[in-house]
Amino acid sequence: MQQKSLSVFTVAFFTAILVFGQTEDLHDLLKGELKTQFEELSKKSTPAYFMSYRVADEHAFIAQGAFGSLTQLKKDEGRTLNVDVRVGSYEQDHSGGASNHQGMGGFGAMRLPLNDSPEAIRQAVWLAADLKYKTAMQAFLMRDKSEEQQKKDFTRAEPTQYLEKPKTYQISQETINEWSEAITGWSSIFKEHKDLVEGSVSVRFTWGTYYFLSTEGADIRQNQSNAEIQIAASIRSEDGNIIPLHKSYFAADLWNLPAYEEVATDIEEMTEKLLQLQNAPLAEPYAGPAIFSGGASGVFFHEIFGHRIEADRLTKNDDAQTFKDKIGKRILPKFLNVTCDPTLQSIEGEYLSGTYTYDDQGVKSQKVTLVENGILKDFLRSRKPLFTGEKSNGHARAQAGLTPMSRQSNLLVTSSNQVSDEKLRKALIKVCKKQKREFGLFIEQVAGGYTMTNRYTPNAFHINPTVVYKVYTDGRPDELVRGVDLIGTPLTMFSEIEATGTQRETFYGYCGAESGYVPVTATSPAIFVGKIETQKKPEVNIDSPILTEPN
Amino acid sequence: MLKLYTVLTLLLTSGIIAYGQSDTDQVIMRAMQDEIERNMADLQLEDYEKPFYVSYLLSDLKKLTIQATLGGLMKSSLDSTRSWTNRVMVGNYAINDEKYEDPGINFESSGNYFNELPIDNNYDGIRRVLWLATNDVYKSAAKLYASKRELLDLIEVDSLPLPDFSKEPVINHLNFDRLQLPDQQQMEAQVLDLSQVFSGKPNFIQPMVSLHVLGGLVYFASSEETIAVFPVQMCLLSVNTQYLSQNNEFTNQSYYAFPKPEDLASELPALKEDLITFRDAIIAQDELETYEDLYFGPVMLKGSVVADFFTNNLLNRGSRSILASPTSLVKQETQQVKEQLEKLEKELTKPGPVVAHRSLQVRALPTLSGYKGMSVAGSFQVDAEGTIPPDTVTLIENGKIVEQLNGRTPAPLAPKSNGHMRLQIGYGLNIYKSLAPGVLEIQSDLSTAKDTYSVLKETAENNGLNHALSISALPLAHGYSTMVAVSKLDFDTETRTPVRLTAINLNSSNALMKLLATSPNQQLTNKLLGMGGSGLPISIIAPEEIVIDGFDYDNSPQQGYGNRNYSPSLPLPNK
Repeated sequence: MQQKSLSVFTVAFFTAILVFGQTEDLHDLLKGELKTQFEELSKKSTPAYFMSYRVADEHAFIAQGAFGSLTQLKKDEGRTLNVDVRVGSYEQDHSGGASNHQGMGGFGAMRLPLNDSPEAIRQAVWLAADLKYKTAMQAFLMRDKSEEQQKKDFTRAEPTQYLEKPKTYQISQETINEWSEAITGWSSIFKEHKDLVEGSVSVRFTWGTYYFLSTEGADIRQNQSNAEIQIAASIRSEDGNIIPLHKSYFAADLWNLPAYEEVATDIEEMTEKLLQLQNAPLAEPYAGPAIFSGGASGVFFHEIFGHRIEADRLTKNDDAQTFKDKIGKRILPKFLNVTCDPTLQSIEGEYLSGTYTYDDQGVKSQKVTLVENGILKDFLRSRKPLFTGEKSNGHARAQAGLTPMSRQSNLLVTSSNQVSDEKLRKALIKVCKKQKREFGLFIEQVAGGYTMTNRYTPNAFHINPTVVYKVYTDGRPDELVRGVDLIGTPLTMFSEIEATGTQRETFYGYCGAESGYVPVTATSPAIFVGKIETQKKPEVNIDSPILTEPN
Repeated sequence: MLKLYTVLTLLLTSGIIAYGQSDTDQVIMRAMQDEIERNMADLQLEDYEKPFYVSYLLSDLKKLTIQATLGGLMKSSLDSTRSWTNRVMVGNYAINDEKYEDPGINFESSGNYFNELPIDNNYDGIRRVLWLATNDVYKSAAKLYASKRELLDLIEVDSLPLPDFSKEPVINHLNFDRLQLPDQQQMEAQVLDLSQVFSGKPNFIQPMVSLHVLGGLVYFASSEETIAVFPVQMCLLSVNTQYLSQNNEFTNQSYYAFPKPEDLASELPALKEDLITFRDAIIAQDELETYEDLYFGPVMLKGSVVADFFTNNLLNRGSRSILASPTSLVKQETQQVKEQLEKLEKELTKPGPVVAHRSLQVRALPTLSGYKGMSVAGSFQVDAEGTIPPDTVTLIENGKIVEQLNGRTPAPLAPKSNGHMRLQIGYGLNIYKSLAPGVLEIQSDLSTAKDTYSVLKETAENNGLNHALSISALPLAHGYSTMVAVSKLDFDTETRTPVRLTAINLNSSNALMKLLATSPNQQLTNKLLGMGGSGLPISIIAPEEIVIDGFDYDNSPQQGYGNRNYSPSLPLPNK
């Protein structure tokens, strides 16, 4: 079962020193080894026709606290090598046809030393390449080469040289102290509320230099960084259910995260919301109209739409291939446009975390128009074509150590049918009245979701709303409810989108799929959906502790 | 400011301040004691009994880990973690909720999913963690005890053949002697230097030199008023490597040493000699002829191989092990419960089983800190249940088990604790309890008879063999290795020929009965139970040489040690 999930994560700020400059040795060593190894492997009786090295030289600073205490403080670093060796030819190689997509995977990942020790690096590269070649060669020999093949197994990429200067950061003791103090300060706000079972704040800053070298002439070195603050709190309701809320802040580095006061205010608001949720009634299963806030709508599009336009998955026979044959056809309402743009650094001044210059197969990132006026125009493509003649559009992505495949970056939903929030609300009430409903739903916040795209399980999605209101038709104030899970199937849901709001919101997350976790964003206006379906959340009944909290 | 004032007040009135205590020690101990006191006084579920015992075990540890291969630094980290376990019992020493299984009662959680101990000295934060942990364990314990009482009442039993928890002396053991970890950068340089022992030897595949230095304090407090604070420290240098032989066969080999952490800077360079010996022995083995015959006969073991032989065959034998295995009462039909109790009654009357040759004596010497000028890595002063072990525990006498190593959960051959519920530290610096020896001394009066070579020869010849095999540990000055040297001793020519065996298995259910001879000289081997950085150091004092009968060798390459063939497609690098 393939399950793609989006989870909420977060980031941080303050002082540290940016440091430029690192020796070129790793780069030079990789270049030399790639040449030597390819010369050797291309002479084999079952020759390699392509090789690449991908190295992630990553660093992290992590701090975490709960209820006014510091619970974790660490710095981490690691270098991960991924070797790809392809056997056969671009037209027909070991990665196989539709039934053997994951033939690309197998061995090939290896830890590299943190320093540029030539001997240690050479041996790790040798072992990774040797193992990878063997896996590929055996797969190629076992492949039925007589099968009819209409498209290539792998497309060429332009030879590219793009070398950013390696960039790193020194996290000083002063910075560590500042962050420790901030975290204990923020998380101590949760101590005021005795029914909270979780009240934690974490800060994570990751940065790295990413190398991609190939026998086609790719020579790429780019820097990336991501900082996040994550707030997570849960409260125990009267019936023992645990109700969670999360909030995240993302930025390119620690120094661009929100100020202390802003986060502290949000924590106060979050605890206030939790206290309201604690006494909120449990929602009954519902089928009817709803409004999704921009953030909730972003998750909705990421899960329901985004994972179904990732082309690599559509090449597999066991995938439901929802949109495979829909190019040029209407799949969304006429007023909607959807793009995926990894070149976009920010939107209206707001940082986007799904940005990169080159993808993990050495292809320049590019904006892809996926849907125009409701018509499907394109897919997110890696170097494994879905149709004859296609090339990558720079969306092959992977976590360090895993094999890249087509993934989302910065998904952006726009609309030509925008109405004010007030009108959207009126539209909801009007539809409810017409259907003789007492109320509709407003889904304000979601924590993430997942979807399944294979054809052996229901092709359904699941979104995890955390803040949901009943919007009454008779003028009563909106009522906060809890215990709502949003479920459904994609095609039905798309046909029910009736209008959008004007305010855009961005949801940030780490998306998990076959090639691991990658940072993504999904920006969307609020949407009005004619019919959604919800079910009750699973109950987590936990009694209160027998004794009260000490002190 | 108010919070600080409160904490200081508590500390000043605690009455347990001892020499060497830091602020950290005071905050942790006070939090533990206050939470024990509160829970013992007030913790009670309606219709259930209060706890009769609460204890906390809390660690405050730092660990330096450095890994390097071929001059490449693979890891250098300094981690600091606090970890805890707790025990809450309902009932009394004779009958309580432990040693009992009721499938209908599950562990309950109060939702403390993120119950991590603060790494700062936050008194409130520490108490919060202990509060939730105590609550959760108590709820299950109270229900289990009620279920157990109901079951015993049903079969009209008011006492068990063995108590559920042994009463042990209350101790007040305060040792705040915390190990200062060595300088990280200096250690990086030294480990990198050691890793270069394998440079220019391309058949060693990713030879990983790892240094783990762990130090800190462990705090134990119980409602019995036992307070124990004791340092834990472990310093391990290990090498794990694969070697690709001329025949394209991969083998895994390991080396371990326990240098003194306070003298690391001077001890690590000395270990280089060991690594060179280790390296050269692996290379030399590649040149040897494989012993092609089948073999069934006596074998001589030398060096740390002897310690391996005894460790494997003393510890991993279920009820015939020197480790106690207390049995639990399982909730079943009344007749079956009665049968369980009758079986236990019978076991109590049985003498310990004969598990070894009648000449064999085994003693635990847990507090022994030095032996022939060497430090004893398995030595410890207090166990993880707050029990001080006796200096000597006789375990096997004349081949028969007379007592097993145990903690406070009674078993037929260990009705009282002998302080061997040891503290074990996992990879993530989490702590747990594990029944294990610290120091074992193994002696046999067979050493008074003939010399080992004569016994080997005589037994082989009686079996119709003109030769026998000898398995020796590498002659290392400081460490211990899984690498062994095997020789074929030809009695006709009086020659010794090094050979390779594809696999060696010295373990069997009756291996200890096959002892034929032991040398009079004893030697110390420090080794690890378990894996790498999370293993438990133990020390074995055993004869330098032994002869055992019935060694069964089959030259099938599939046996043992995980050897496998690998034919590289690319030439080895760095040649």
